[in-house]
Amino acid sequence: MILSEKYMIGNTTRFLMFVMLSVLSVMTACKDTWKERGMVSGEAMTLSVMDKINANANLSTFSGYLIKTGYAEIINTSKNYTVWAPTNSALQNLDASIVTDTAKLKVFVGNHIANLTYATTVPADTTQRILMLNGKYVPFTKNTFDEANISLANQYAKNGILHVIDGAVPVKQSIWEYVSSATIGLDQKTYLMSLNKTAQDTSLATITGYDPVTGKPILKPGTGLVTTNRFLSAVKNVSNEQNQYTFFLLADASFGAEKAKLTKYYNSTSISPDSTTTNLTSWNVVKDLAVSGAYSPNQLPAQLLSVNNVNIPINKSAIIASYKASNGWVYVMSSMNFSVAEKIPAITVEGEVVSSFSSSGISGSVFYPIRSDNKGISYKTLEVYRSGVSALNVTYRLRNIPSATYKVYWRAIAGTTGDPQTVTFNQKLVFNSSNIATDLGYKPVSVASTDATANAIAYSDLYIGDCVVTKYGNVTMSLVSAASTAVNVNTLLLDYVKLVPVIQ
Amino acid sequence: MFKTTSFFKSLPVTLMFLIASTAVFSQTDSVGKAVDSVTIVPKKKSTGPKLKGTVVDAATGKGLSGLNVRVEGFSAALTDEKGKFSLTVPDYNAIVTVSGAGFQEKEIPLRGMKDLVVRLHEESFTSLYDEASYAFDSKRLSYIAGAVNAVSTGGSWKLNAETPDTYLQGRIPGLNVIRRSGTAGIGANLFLRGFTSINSTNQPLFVVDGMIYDSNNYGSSLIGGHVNNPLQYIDVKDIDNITVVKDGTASIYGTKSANGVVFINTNQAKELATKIDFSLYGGVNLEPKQLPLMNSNGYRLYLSDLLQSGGIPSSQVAALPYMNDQLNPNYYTYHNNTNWQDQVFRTSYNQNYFLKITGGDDIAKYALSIGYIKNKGVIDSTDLIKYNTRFNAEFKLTSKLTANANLAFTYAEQNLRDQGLSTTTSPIFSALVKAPFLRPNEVDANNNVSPSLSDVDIFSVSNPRSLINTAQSATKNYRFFGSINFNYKLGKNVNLSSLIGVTYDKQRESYFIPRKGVSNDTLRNAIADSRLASQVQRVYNLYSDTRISYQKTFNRLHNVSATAGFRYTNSESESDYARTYNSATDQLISIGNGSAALRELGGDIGKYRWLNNYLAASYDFSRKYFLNLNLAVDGSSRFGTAAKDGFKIGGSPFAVLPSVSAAWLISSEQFMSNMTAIDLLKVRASYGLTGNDDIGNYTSRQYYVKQNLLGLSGLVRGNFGNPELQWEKVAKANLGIDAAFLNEKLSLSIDFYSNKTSKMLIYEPTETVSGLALVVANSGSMRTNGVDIGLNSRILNKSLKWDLGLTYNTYKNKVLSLPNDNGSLLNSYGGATYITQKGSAANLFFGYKTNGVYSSNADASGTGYTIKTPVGNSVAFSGGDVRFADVNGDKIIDDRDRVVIGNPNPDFTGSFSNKFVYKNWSLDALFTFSYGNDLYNYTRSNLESASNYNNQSIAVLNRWKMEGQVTDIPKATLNDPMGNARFSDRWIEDGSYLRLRTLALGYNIPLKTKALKYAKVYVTGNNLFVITKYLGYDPEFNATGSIYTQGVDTTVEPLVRSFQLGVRIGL
Repeated sequence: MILSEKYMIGNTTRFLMFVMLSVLSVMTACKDTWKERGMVSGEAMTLSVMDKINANANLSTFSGYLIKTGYAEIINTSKNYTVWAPTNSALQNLDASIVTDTAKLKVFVGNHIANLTYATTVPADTTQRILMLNGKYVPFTKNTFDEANISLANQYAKNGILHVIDGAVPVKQSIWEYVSSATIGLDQKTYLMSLNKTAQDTSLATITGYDPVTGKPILKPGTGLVTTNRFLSAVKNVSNEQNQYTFFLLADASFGAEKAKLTKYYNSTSISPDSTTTNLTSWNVVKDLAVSGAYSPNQLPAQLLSVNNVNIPINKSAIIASYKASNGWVYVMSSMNFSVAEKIPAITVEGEVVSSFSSSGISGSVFYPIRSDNKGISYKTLEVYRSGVSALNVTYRLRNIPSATYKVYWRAIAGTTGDPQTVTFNQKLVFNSSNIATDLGYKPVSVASTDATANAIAYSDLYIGDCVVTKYGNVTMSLVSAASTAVNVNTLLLDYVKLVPVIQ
Repeated sequence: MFKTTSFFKSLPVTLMFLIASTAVFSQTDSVGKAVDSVTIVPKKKSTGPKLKGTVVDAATGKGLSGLNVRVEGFSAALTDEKGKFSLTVPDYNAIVTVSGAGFQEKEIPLRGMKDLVVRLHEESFTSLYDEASYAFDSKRLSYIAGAVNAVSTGGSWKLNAETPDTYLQGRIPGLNVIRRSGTAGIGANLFLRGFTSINSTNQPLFVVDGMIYDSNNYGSSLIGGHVNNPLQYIDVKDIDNITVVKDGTASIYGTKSANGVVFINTNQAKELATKIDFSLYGGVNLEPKQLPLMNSNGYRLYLSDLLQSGGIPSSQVAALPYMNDQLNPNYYTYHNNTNWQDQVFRTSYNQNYFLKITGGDDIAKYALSIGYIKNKGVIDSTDLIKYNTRFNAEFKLTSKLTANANLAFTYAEQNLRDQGLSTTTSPIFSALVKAPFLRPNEVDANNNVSPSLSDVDIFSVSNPRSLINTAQSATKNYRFFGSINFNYKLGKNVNLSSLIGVTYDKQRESYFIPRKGVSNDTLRNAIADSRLASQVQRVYNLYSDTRISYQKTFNRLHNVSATAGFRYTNSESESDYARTYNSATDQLISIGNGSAALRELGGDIGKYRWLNNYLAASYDFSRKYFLNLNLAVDGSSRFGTAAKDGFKIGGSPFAVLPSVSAAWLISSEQFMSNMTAIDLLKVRASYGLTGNDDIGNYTSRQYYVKQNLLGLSGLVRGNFGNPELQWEKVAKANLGIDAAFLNEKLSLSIDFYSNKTSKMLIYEPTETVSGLALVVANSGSMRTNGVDIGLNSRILNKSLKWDLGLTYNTYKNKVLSLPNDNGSLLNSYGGATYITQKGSAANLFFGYKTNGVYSSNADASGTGYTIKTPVGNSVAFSGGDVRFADVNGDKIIDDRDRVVIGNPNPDFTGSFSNKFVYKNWSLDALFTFSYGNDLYNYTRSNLESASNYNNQSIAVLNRWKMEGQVTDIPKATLNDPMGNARFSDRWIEDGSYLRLRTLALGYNIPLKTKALKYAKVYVTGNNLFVITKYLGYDPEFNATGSIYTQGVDTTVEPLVRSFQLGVRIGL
């Protein structure tokens, strides 16, 4: 057993040193190990953003504005802020109306301050859109803040970052604000504004009590009013600052021209041309005038696809004016030649989307089989088999059908795998709209074939006849079975009906 | 079964009553007859040469009168008023013993001297001539060949806040006492000479008044981080002396002796006269020093960084209630600056009353004590109330038959709170991590504060006040520990003795966590809001120790003694718990109110038997050459039937554990007679085999455990069952020197030791297909080498006496073999990983090495280091991430880059004590220290992770924020995708400390009245200061006794700085 191990001697020496050191440290009083760790030093850790601004003589004007608007206190609080402070010279030429009006000044100053910290440590080609305290988003890159250049970047403070910029960044209007105050394209603007509706939001309104019967809250009238706009909700919410859009404003002539192309498809039941027709026509024009994404004039393609799947043809030479809004681009167009065929598209009525049957008690005979067509694509169909009802009506209600002449096609194929109906039979389509009834007469349905060519024909749309809709509105379409009660004769079979408008 | 239980329940009380009444009767019987014991003068008239001498007080140099001077078994004399004596000695090589009231006992080998000057120190002087007390006998330290230390408590009247285990801190060389936490009575873990096992216990065996004291824990506590400490049932003021056997000579306790043996002997009546001691103490426990945390401002800025790092848009950040500075209904809920640590910690009070009566007559002597302690914790609403009684008596039944009874009954009630890793229910942890901008009580839109407490907050952190006010965790325990020892004198030199005793212990716990204010827990099939539980643990041990002993001195030169006997233990333990959840309201707190569907019942039954046959023989020649032989032959129900070691009797394996020790008292040799500066010089050596039977009651057998499958209960195999499982063997070698110089002004003991554990229990991982994760086998070995030094010195010895004591321990542990020698065992606790591998210490911290924080993105991309996400994508580090070391050079920071980053074992530990006595004043100062141990600061790893909504320490104010910033705190990143907070050397800290552990001032009030014998006043300060670099509350803590939790700071209640003022009156 070896006991003269080196470490013991080493430890003992260390022990003696330790004793001496301990005595020393007792004498020199206990040093607080935490003091050093918790101590923050350096301007970046001790000064607030406001202190940093005040420390820079070149930012005195902006500092004054901060104090005047109350932002000075806010950016001294314990939250992170990024401030893009314009130099004194950049603020020299600031519109006096902003400087004198505290409310406007507050919006202006708020356009230079953001919550959280944003440094210029991002790659050069990255653009961040940053939410400012005034609710606007401002693009920020490694070297620029909106149009201003960053002259002194990344001045860290205890509660954020200061960037010094060489120009003031005026508050931009959003697309919707721009449109609302537009001076050209007034017809379109007027129409869009007419879509405004004011309603009471139950979550914002003051509740004065609860209805003892229903238990529903009783709202104080005039409180919690919110304005909604159909365009913003149904097309694109171009008032939203968070996302970016491109919006087209048509000059009055162009707006009128586009409406003229469409007005005949909106023949109303009342005296022509009435307000209904005008409104419908106008809606059909504007519904394709906004898209997501900010397309600058350079990036603007020849055409864009609207939310309604309509191509927006853009003729750059037709741009009268353009405006870079806080949330995208607005182009004022002298013309915009929409394709009427796209605006008034074909209507497909799926056979299985039935509104009603003329006879009750046939539910055991109604099927909605899913089958595969000749290309292997599965489709759902309606089949009424062995109903025992003569001339059974299956009704489809078609809503908001533009006034036009339609070529009517159907696809109905008997004799597919598993189908009890193996032979052809007759059925017919009857249309009723605005007192005009169109009976397209009994037509045989196609039968699936083992021959590929024949089968392709069977599966193609089968032209049935024409149907004229004279007035815009609802149309009732009925699929009628043969006037027989015999099995395999009074069958109904429908994949879909297609109504293709004849564009003139 | 029930009847048996109630019988044993009533047993302690009955016994107590019986014994007490016997004593009282014998007392009344002998009133008036009581006389002080008389020194027995040898009958034979001795003949031989005369020795002349003087006995003087070592401090004053004045002669001491009335002292007893003798040659044992030969002659005796008393000193005259000048301290002179004349004594007949057999020859001038005899050994003279001097003793007397108030002074130390001392032995002087004459070595030819004819004229003797003996300088005696006072009785309390620490000396190598002191006696070490074992179970039934005692031995002068100077005769002992093993490594043994003795402590005489002197009543420890100044140190009433201790439990026996914490009391030992800094008093025994080689014993590293690490207190578990600051909770009252929670005690300490004792590591005697490092550790001998990695999976079995490392705690020494306690033998109290001759009977093994069961200090194990049976089942874990329901209360998070709590350990029930059976040693707290012994009042330190009841202890007379403590002896610690550190080496192989402990082997007489066979397979329970691997970690040494601590003998505790309680107070016995020393005189026949009735003595009454009464003391009362009051004190204050100071609120701990708080960890510096961020205030609301700093925290909100941290949250801003954190939320932004998580990609949360600024509009959403601004809309968060705590970021919204506009006046709104929630404004006052989220705009405060609360110091949550203030809400949890309290300065509190402690009180303690103690009464001791001793006395008796020729027939019976008794010592009776009664104590009461009420100690409030520094965590608000926690406390410990303890009642203890002890009755020790000696009966002289006939001239040959004597009996000793030692009976103790203690009852304790404790209100506790969760601590440690129970992060959602621990008030301390919640207070540390809770957002400072919140407040404890609900508040309305107009800043009116409600008396009702706030619910769990927006970050799912519990309200610490709810955990204090509404939660309840209480324990109610009692223990009866009693024995009767009969001693029959068979002949002049032969004694037959038998001890029989019982331990009956019951611990009841009840636990309730409310739904309001506490974050929910997710169970397998439900969400737990309120939590209810209760538990009962019982231990019943029957113990007997029967022996025959022989002692004789031949020709006054050959001293022979031998003892043979057997010890038997029958241990039965049971723990039963019930746990349920979701009571209807927070007012329904008892277990019956929880959801029946979520009720969970469980428990454990443990039984084992142990038979220890032993033989101890010792021989010395002329008190110069000592030789001791011990042998234990142990059988235990725990051993596997196919155990390889030992031998078998009737198919049952028996462990054979011998030890041998020898000493040479050089200073008694003739040739040393000229070296007058040396009082005592002794070399000693010992070697022995010890064993550790903590291998599990049933591990060697195959058993089944219950298993729930889709609501059906069934049984599955619980283990493999290893019939070869046996005791761990620890071979202990010790080489020691004892020396005293300059009339004992300096005395010193140095021990070198080497402990080799073989057949070490290893939990070996198994193949997944086996269906069980681990197999237990005796398949490892390791060695611990070390040195203990104990030093006592009297620096000043005039009217001002100054004693300086020092203990010093160092050890190095090394694993020698593992089942797979090239492999390593990994163990985790609280996020820390320990590695055990061949060739190094068994419990090293294993994690990542770091080197600061990348100052910029360029800095980070320059290294090209990446991590692999769970789906296999590579993610590169960027500015503000921690710079982990890529150990294997593959540029990917992963598991394979882990290295040893710390060692929780100290380089050395120890203490130094100072004692000043001046007239009626005395001042004791005990310093303890530990050097070179590494700690894993789990608490700080939570407070500086910079990855979640927890409040952070002020160091996080220096977190990386900007390109080019040089700091060592990484940036705030939500959910820590880069693993910056992983277990690394960032959280490993130097745990070295120096502590003024106790400072006690005593004053003996001079009395004119005869009504009082004495009156003393004590002022004691505990844990007054600690010098450390450690950043947690306190560098001393020990979550469990396992070496795989050593050095992990799991946010336990910090050690308490306290002051006590006490008065002791003697009647």
